[in-house]
Amino acid sequence: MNTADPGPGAAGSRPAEYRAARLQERLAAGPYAELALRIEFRGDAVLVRAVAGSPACRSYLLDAVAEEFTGLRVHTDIALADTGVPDHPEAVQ
Amino acid sequence: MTGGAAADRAVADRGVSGRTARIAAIGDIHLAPDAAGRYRPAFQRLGGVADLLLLAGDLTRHGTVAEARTVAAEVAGLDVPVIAVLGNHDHHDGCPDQVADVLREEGAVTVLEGSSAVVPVGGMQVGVAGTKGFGGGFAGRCGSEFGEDEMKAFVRYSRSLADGLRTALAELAGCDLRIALTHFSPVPDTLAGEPLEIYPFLGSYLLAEAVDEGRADLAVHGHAHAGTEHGLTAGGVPVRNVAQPVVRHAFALYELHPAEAAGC
Repeated sequence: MNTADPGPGAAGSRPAEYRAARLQERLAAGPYAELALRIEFRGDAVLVRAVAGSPACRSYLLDAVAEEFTGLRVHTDIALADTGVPDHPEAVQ
Repeated sequence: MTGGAAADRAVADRGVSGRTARIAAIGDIHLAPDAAGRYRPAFQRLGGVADLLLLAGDLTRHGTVAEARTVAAEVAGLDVPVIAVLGNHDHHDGCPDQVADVLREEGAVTVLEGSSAVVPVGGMQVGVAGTKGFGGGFAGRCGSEFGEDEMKAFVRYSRSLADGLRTALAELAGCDLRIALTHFSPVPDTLAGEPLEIYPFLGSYLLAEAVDEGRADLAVHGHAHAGTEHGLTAGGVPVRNVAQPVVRHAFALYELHPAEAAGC
């Protein structure tokens, strides 16, 4: 392991990639059992993507992300699941 | 895009001509008491657009009985038969049998695991064979029964569930249409968008082998939230990933046409 390059946000804190792993474990064990959060590092920023099942779940995820990545530049794209009826079927050949 | 009554009629009109089975399918709805009723309005319109509803696992968040009751209430009394497999979330609390019992008793859901069900649709027999399935990876990039006991157990478990699917599909040999319903994916195609590193935890080629040997007309799975909808087995069977974040609706709709007359 290259300890000289611990990743973005490492100054004075746990390296960002460990914080990402800790966030994923925390969310998996949390009330929404969220296992599908996508976390990517782009330069000095963190990108977080997910689809939340409800507004409350989305709010919970945003709070957890902000808390875990305190001090980092974070971009989030957490959409709400659409539960509408599709307007056409696919004819499977 | 979603629609109202006009959209329902448009969908229904496409499904009534000839020998067509209209399959609604969704997975990974992750319901719990605080989300009760979220899918109910859409599910109550199923009678106009589909002949049956398939649930591809991860119906709950933690696999608790309370969450199973929420799922059962969501689908109880619908106009179409409901057939389900469980997912890994539905096993998390350690009581998958109780979860399945609640779905059966309170939701009238047929829950499959290494088993099959046959639904009459417009004079046809539509067979559904199901298993949760498990991981292990895909041909050339998969685990094997070697080394530590834990690794052997991992692969054996995946193989045993795939064997259950194979047996269940064999029961449907005479059906007009055969559908394989799993939670884990049988192919890597529908995982596109997921990190490559986690593919072995998302599915197994053993499921695809069973799908091909059982001459399924369609394979439906969930589990891969960041994947893509369309795939194909090596044997040419269409595969659809119906994880809710992928289909982005309350359910996906597929029309299937039998190649020739048969019967179960």
